[in-house]
Amino acid sequence: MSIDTEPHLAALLEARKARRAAPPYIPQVDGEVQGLLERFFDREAVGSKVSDVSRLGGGASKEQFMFTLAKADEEPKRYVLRMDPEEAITETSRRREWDVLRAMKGTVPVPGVLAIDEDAVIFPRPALIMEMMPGTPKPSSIDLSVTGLGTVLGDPLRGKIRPQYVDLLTKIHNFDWRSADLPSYAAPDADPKQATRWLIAFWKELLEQDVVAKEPVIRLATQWLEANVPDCNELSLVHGDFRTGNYLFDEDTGAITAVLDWEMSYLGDRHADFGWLLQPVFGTLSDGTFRASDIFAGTDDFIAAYEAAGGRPVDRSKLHYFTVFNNWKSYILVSVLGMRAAKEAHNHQDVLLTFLAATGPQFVAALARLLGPASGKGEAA
Amino acid sequence: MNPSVQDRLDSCVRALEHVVLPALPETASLAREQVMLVMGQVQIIRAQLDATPAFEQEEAADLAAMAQAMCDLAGEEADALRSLLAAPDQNIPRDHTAQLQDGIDALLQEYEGNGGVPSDISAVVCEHGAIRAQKDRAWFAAMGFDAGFAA
Repeated sequence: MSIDTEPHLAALLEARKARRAAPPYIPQVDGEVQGLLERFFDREAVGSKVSDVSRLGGGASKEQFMFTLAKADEEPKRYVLRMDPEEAITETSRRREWDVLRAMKGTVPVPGVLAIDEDAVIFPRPALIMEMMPGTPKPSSIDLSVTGLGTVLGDPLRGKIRPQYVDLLTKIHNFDWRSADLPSYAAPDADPKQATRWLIAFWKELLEQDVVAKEPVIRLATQWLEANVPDCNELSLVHGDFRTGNYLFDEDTGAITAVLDWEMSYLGDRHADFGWLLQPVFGTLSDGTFRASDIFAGTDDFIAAYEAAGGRPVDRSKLHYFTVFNNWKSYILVSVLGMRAAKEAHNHQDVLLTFLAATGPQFVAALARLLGPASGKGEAA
Repeated sequence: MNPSVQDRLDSCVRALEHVVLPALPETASLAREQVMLVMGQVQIIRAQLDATPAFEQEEAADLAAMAQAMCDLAGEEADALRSLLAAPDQNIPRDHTAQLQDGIDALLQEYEGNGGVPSDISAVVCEHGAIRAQKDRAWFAAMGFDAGFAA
């Protein structure tokens, strides 16, 4: 029986089952990728030349390579190849990433997309090629930042980025998606609960397909989320992963140059983005002050900034629901999908996945607190 | 003298730090990241090594305590979990933990469609889960991800 979620994602969930039995995934090497790119562009852009292929660091979900492409009669340009490993910390679609990047061009700064190999005709796994954008995801003083977690922007960068971040988030949420060309996205507008019902069904299916250890608090959270789905009367484009580490900025000016990592985006309740960016795991603690994404001094500070920037009012009861949801989703990402991919040797960054899985107890602790007797659990969210 | 596990792990980290990492070009960003992650993992594993058997035994004991507290409140629907608790444990702690997790999960699923998990049992899961999660956070605190952790 098909899963009650977006049709494109339901197909994705079904297709991934067949990959479980695949042999260990061997990461691509630069030379092989050069050959793949040359074959690909022989079909797409005859007479083009591929050079300077090298891996990109960061990212727990895609194999990424940058390269130069010189097309006939054009200046050479730098591009990024994003390719799925066999399994990863997320389960997403290159087609949807293609659609949303095209749709958002001109609304917020995003990389332009050049080409897609959705069905892995040339590349070993589905792949997307997009422009290389200027900027950095972290200050150059930081040597290692695991997918941007705990990135300290510090002063004065924090103050420069904050208004831009809020402005971009409101633009994403106020985006007129009904007029946009998003063929792989479906609008969950059959009833006010469909958006979040689809969302929960998607993540629950991933949890059940990949479960490694049956954590009791996660079972309770699943039941609570299903029983307390709030209405969503204003569908928004939800980015799904907009936090420090997933945008690029110019280190000298502090200007945000690109919003990245749209792969978990969907149409639904925008409160999910709030609960995501406010999570402690993406924040920093310095001098006793917690800053969400190293930008906002907690929930009230964020809400005031968002609403002042033209964002629609934040409903705190929905924020509570999506705080539960995001802790649950985060656990599924790091302790279920990530650990399953590592156990099956189906990823190019197994050591990163097992490192990230150590964040799992944070989410269990948060859920136990949010759903425990002192939390008001049982009241409608 | 046999080399200790700690000595062997230390030598791995030194090789990665002083030989492998400097030999990697700055442009090999993923390879450099991976080396640093491996160094971090090995150093944390080294620090946890002596305490690991006790940690895994305590983890299984905590799950058993949660299961027992649930059984104390539940009716006959918990008989399978009671049998699991009563059976002599011949597994290594990690396997025993997994067995208990499966048993608890089966009971929680049993309540689905039957009015939901009773609030007292739900409270037990959250209370025991919170205590266990705090121990796990302490165990992984050296990873540096847990900005909000206070032991």
